Amino acid sequence: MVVAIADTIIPETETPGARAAQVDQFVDTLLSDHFSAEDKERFLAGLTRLEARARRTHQKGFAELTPAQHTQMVGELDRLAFQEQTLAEKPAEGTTAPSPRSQESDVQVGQGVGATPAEAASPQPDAADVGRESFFRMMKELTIVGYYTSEVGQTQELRVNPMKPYRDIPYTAGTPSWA
Amino acid sequence: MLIQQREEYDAIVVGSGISGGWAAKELCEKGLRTLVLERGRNVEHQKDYITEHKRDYEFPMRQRRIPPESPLAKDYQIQARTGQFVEAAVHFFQKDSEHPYIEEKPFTWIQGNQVGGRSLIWGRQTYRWSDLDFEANLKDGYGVDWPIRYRDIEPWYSYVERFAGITGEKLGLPYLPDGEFQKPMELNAGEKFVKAGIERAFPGRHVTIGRCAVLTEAIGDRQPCHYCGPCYRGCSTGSYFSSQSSTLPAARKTGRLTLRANSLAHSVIYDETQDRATGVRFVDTSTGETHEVFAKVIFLCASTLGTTRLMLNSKTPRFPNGLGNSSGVVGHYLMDHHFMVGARGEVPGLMDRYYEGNRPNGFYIPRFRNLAGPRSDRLKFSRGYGYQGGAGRAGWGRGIGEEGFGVELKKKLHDPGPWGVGMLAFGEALPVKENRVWLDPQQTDKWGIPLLRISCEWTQNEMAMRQDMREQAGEMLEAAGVQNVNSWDANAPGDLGAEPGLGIHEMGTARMGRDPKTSALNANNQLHDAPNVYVTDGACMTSSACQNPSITYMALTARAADHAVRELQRRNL
Repeated sequence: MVVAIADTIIPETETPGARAAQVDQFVDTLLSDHFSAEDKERFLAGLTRLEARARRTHQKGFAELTPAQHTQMVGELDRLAFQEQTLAEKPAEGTTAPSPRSQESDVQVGQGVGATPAEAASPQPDAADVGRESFFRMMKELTIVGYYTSEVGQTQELRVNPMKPYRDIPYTAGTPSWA
Repeated sequence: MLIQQREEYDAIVVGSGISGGWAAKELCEKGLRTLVLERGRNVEHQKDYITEHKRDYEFPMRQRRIPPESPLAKDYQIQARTGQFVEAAVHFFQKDSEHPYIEEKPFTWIQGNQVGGRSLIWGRQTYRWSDLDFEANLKDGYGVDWPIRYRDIEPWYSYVERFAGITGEKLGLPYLPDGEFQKPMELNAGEKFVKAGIERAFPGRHVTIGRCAVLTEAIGDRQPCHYCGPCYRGCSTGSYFSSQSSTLPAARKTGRLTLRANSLAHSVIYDETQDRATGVRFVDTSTGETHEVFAKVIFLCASTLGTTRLMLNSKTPRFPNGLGNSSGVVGHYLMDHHFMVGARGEVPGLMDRYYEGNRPNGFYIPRFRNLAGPRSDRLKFSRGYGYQGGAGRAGWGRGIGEEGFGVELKKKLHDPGPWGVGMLAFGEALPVKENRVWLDPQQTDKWGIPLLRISCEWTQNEMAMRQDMREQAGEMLEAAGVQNVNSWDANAPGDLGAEPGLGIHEMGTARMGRDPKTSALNANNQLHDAPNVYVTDGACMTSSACQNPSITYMALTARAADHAVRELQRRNL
């Protein structure tokens, strides 16, 4: 399932995608060795919700869905995960970012106000899928980090900054970024 | 168990970091048979740089920062507070579970625990002090007057700079004296844009490439930087200055160096009948045995708080409050540079410029406040600050915080993103008596040495300065044409964020001074009370200035070693 989500976030193009870069293994390692119990719990709960939604909507496990269905479901999660940036999240200039706790309460308030009858008819998005603390933000970060720090990401998609005396150089669009 | 085996040397140096390495080199080269005691494990130059040149994908966590919540940080609850605690460098930090201390108020004590100490993981920025700094205490009345002036240390700056190898650009500023510089590194296009803008909008302010202890020209066997980037993993070409690459090999070459790792100094031995310090008692941490070693002269270079703890634990009838502490100042006047405040923003355009190579350096904005004396600008604070920063084009990481996925996201992250610039201020902290460390009366570490208690917080002066540090950072970037400027300050009084210690420039707890009643050390770094004991690490500092302090420790150490050897020759010690 993690492979399917990751590969939807960074798909194969002319270069390999998240699947070939074995992003799922990186996610596993981080989850088991690095994450606090709380973060691990949050991540696994997000996977469970997504799987349940796939079964409810498509009567299939997420991993068995078509690429179009993957794109649709991941797109929905991505939209929700960044939704609060336009609503509650924007910190006033110069202040430090609000704590996760205050964000959560902001999100719940926002949803209550924003829900229209039409939206209420479709399954309500879970508050845990909205905003900075959402499962998808975690998943997206892990995928991007996992992919662009992999051998595939660093040497095939991007390129490794050489060990050369530092120079200010010209750049042409289309040339890969340093890994 | 006490091992009774009378080992005698000409000199003992406690600690093998930046100061201890210099003491060892100078004393050995001047003919003294020298023992260096290092509490940490042995690290062999080159061979033990086990993560050097590894690619990100060779690390299970891909070289991420390890935060305190991570199970990997279990034994490193303090060390993990610094962003420098990353997967590739864990083995160069001490385990807090083995070397605990007590925080009365938040104080982050970052420590190395190996031969070479923190010189393996230091930030390498090197700026001389001037008389603006050495006269500050005298002029505004905080602390006591430094017993030395710039002319006393100037030749020693040159001496250590020529050996260490410092890259930088000469500016001719009296308040930030030029050094013996190797050719400077290059600023990138974004930094040149910011430099031009700031210097145009604020005549008298300067943006210059960082001055740092990284070679751009070979010195002996040490090769110029090959620009791999992460210096803190160790450098097998010896391109950045560390005890491992530079001073310890020089000391070893004399044939007079004995270096003992896993040897935790317990106390200085003071012979009441001779009325002099005669040696050092230490614990071999691999066996638990206590040893005593003896010498004519002793250099304490165990890091500011390590040295202070050792002095306080050296209690004798003559010194009931700790060696060399008849003044009562030892442990007081703890300082650090306050930072974690600055500004960042987006540099417009320049989409046709990039950079190559991994430069272990950034730009520097020298102090521009109170340049005629600590209060000359009539601001709400005394003294001053400088900025360190850098510009670059956004990398793939920008994809994390924005909406978007799939082919479009991948396409976007393929090219470098827009230019960004950020800078951090480093400010001078005042020496105040209330900021202090002392020995806990009950608790000890597993070797029986009392734990240090630390109580330190920023004063009103630092808080007022931070306001200006933040405002000026924002104003300068905006005036330079940087867009979406966001100024910030991570300080959270009473909590972590920009707490004392995090600057890793802790200093001042056995200060130099003119009067034995108000200082621990004289103008030559000798204890007033025990002239054959020298303290040349950060403990000796009478004020903090705002410049990164290591080059000053180096110069003071070389100067003190020269003094010690001359005094021995004159039979004055």
